[in-house]
Amino acid sequence: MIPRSSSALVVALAIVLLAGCGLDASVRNHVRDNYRFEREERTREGRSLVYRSDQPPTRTAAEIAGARPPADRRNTASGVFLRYSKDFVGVVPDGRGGSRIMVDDERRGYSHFYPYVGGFWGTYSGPGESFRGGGPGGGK
Amino acid sequence: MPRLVATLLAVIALLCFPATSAAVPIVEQADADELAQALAEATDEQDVCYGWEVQVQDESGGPGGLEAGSSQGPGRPLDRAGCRRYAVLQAGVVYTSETSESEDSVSSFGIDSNLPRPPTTGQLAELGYDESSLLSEDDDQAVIDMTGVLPLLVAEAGLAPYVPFEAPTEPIPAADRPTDSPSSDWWRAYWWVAALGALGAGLLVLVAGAGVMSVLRGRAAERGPGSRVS
Repeated sequence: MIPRSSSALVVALAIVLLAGCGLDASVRNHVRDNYRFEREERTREGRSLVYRSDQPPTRTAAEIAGARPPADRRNTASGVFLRYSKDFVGVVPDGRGGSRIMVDDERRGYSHFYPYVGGFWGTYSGPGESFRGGGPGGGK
Repeated sequence: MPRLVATLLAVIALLCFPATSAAVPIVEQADADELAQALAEATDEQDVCYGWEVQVQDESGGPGGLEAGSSQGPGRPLDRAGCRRYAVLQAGVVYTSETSESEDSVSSFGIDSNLPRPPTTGQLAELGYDESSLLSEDDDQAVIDMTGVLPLLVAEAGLAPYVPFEAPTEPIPAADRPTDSPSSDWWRAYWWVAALGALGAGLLVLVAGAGVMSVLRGRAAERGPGSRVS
């Protein structure tokens, strides 16, 4: 004997949860759906997808980060790098006023963007043999 | 007795050396070296000088003063006279003792520049950093990123060429790898759905509880005066 208002709430709750499960949080899909695909690069580390945006790097990165909040980010002189649970996204100048967006898996991304994220998002034994820690929220 | 002595020593240590809320220096030497090097490379590319100047005031008596670095070197505040064009991140932070009732605060925050359309703190905010970042656990990364991105913002304003992205030409050291996998992307993007679900579940429990109470009261009323809802 469930009150009618409870039944309505159960239905509303089920709809919210089902709708929530269907929401797409993938940064790969967001970039694929909103930017021009340019090419796919294959290396021994994995697969890198390259897209283009007419907007400059900081604006493009801000749009991507707004739509799919990253776990961590690095803002550098040469571009903006975003870290997700399984993907790395690098947004760099394309030389024509727009941006080149590189979407990599975690392993490939770390190698690809190493001069910029090395030590911040993982171990680092680059110049100076220093260890800068790493990990989301962990800073350096 | 030993416990009492230890407690007394701890209290004395706390009174004599009160802990501060943040570590000083904000940017460690190795990172300051790298940041200054990156800025120097940007200056070579753009003919614009860059730097950071953070005035630290530690009210608990800890180390304070000006923490600075620039494209002219780590630990060196930018000598403006030696630069035709420049942009410098400037901030002032005030750390209070952890025993103080006052909160740590940012006394100033901005970008000092002689460029016609200099980078703004609003642009830094779009990139995820504002003055509150200087009081966060990751204050070092905030200073590094806010300063490090200045050349990119200057290039985007059309004031200088871009500093090109350079991927490594050789494999990275085999031992180096990403660490600390981040939490779920779904959770970060749609935490509000879970919050809404939790709110709905809470409401459901309340409504169901109210319904059950109502039924029990109705039955008690049917049994007549003197009966109680149990």
